[in-house]
Amino acid sequence: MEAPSRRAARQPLRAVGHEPDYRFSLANERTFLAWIRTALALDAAGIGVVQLLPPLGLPFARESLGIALLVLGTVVAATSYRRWGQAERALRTDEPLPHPVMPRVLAVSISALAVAAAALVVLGGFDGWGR
Amino acid sequence: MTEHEAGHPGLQRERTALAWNRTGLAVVLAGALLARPSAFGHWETVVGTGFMGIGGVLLLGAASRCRRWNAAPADTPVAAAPLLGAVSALVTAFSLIVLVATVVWVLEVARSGTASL
Repeated sequence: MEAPSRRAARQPLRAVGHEPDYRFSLANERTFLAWIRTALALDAAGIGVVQLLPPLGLPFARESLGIALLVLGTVVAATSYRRWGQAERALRTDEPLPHPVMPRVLAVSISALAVAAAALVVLGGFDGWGR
Repeated sequence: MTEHEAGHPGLQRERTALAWNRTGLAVVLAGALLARPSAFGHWETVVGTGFMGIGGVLLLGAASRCRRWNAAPADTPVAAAPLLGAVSALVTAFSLIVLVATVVWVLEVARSGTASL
């Protein structure tokens, strides 16, 4: 089981299995684009936090938050094509769709960042915009 | 799959074309956010403006793909792998550039100890 699927993973996508229903391919493409937009939103949030937020009171708190968001954006952008390829491969071979780990990673990371940001605002003595 | 949907498979393409439009707009917005004047210097104006241009190309490409789709039979195979790979690589490159530049900037400020972060 392991060996054939690994061999299949090295073949070009076009040579694997059969041409799937075009609607599934298009749905997979839209899901890929949604991941790309998620990566861009994380990048934009990171840029915004670093450049537009006032300092958060604690040293490098703002920069750490922004860098964490940019790391997440980079990881999501870098893994999105692989995820699309795995789903496309599954569609072409009539296998179950893979269970990606990124949704869980993102949910946990963004929750942790939100809690950290809230704690920084409360503990760091956030004193308002531009003052 | 109802008869009605089967007769109007273009909705799939329309939704996909709209997803491309949203993505193109997101690329333009991310580029614009980076291109605005900021603490970093001047490089980000170049990278941000370039990225906005890429977003524009995506929007135009999506429009022309949609036109080609409308002229082709509904069940024409969809072959977009190189395009998706290029989009993924471009957005990854953008993220990495901003990430590395931010880290370098923070380290420089920390070493010089000038600004209060």
